[in-house]
Amino acid sequence: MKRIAQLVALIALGVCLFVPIQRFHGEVSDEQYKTTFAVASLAWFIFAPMSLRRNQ
Amino acid sequence: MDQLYEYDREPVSDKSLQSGWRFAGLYAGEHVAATEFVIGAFFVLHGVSASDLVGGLLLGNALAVLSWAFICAPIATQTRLTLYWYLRRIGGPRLMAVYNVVYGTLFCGIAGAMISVSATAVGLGLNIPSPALDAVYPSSVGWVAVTLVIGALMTVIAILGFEKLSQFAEICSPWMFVVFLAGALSMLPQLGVATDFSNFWEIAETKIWTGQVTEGQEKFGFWHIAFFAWVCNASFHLGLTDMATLRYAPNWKFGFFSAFGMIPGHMLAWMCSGVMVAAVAREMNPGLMAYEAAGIAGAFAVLIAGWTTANPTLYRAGLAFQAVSPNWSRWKVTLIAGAITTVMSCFPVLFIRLLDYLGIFGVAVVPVGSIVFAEHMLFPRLGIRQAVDWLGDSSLNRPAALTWLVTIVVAAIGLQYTSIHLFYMPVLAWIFAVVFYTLIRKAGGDQ
Repeated sequence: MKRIAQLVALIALGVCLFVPIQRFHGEVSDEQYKTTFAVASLAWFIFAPMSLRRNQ
Repeated sequence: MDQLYEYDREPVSDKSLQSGWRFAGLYAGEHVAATEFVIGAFFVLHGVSASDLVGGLLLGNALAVLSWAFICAPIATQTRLTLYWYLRRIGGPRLMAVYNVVYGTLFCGIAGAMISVSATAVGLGLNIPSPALDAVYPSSVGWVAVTLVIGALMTVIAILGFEKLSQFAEICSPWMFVVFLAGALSMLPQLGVATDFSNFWEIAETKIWTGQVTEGQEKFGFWHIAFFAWVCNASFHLGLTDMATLRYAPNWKFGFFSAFGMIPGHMLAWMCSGVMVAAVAREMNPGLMAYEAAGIAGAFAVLIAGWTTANPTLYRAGLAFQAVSPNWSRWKVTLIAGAITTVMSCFPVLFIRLLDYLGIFGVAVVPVGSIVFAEHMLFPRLGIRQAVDWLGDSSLNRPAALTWLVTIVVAAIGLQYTSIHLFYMPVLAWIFAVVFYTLIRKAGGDQ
């Protein structure tokens, strides 16, 4: 579970980084970018604490 | 942070020294904060040019890192004490008490500014306008209500769950940096930057850092940026308050880890917030900037950035007040710090004039760092008797108190009657205080 939570958190952060790049290149609309960014942010805040908690 | 302050009155033991990664993370987290949304945006409004910005930030941040490495870190790693405790031995309990009240109150002002920044995000949802650029007093009943509610909530949470919120802040830290990058990147096409970045510099010069001053703002150039980048954390490095952190470093070279805060926070995040404010037609509203740049997640970032920055700030202010009144419980001093902070946050001038406030903060506290620097680094070399050897049971090092007072008076006169800019003053005040204190002590001012 620990590794899965870490992996999902990292992927979520990666999406947060990747989707504005797509927006910059005009590959996604402004709405798609903001929605994806919000969902990925939510995933980060769910899974990053889970992975940290298990580390302690 | 509780862990960091466990040795508040004794030297840190060798077993508690921290790794470089810990310092890198600490600095990166601390310097990518809510203030960055305001500072970088204000550089645009102050009409700095793109080349002055980049050059000034490179020089200023390099000087800040050098100040951490060559001034703060050596004293911290040799004494392994906090500034507060070392100052008590050098300046006496009365000087330390006055310093703590001044420092704690000034820190409440920064926390208040952070609450104001958060309020701009909440205000978006409630249709409460952000204060105007010349605002000093609260602009509306709605603004007062929002800041009071946020301030009260932050205070209660700082009292009840400081550790939990610190852990939350650690989680926020990498995401917050991504919000700055994402916000700027997503706004670049709107400003006309081509997807291959071929015209980035041209857009930077003509649409972002244009050199055009927003009405009512002062024009900034290379030296303003360089000195601001150097002194915005002057209380930490020249003022030595970061001894609290760096006393856990195995050696003085760990002061260079401050670069992990300066490069992402005081270079990239400032530049990103500059892009964001340029893309919203220079409207100085951190909540709006972030919302336009990253949607609801951006507004949330501003809200929690203010929150997570105000939390350790409240904690520090509480620690400073508690040093004056050690019999008071932590919750009581945090409540007092929170109440002062919340009232201050109603006044938008704190965040509208944040750059000036940070300069004044530096001028007010760096003379104390000068006194400690002179005592620790210079006097053994100059053959001047150190205060720890003669102060004994005396409650006040009078030459030190005189130095602090004279430096502030001279700085105030200098700001009032000369053309020396506020951003240059903390460095000049630091040098003046070192020289003044050394001279009066050399002249025999032991009492």
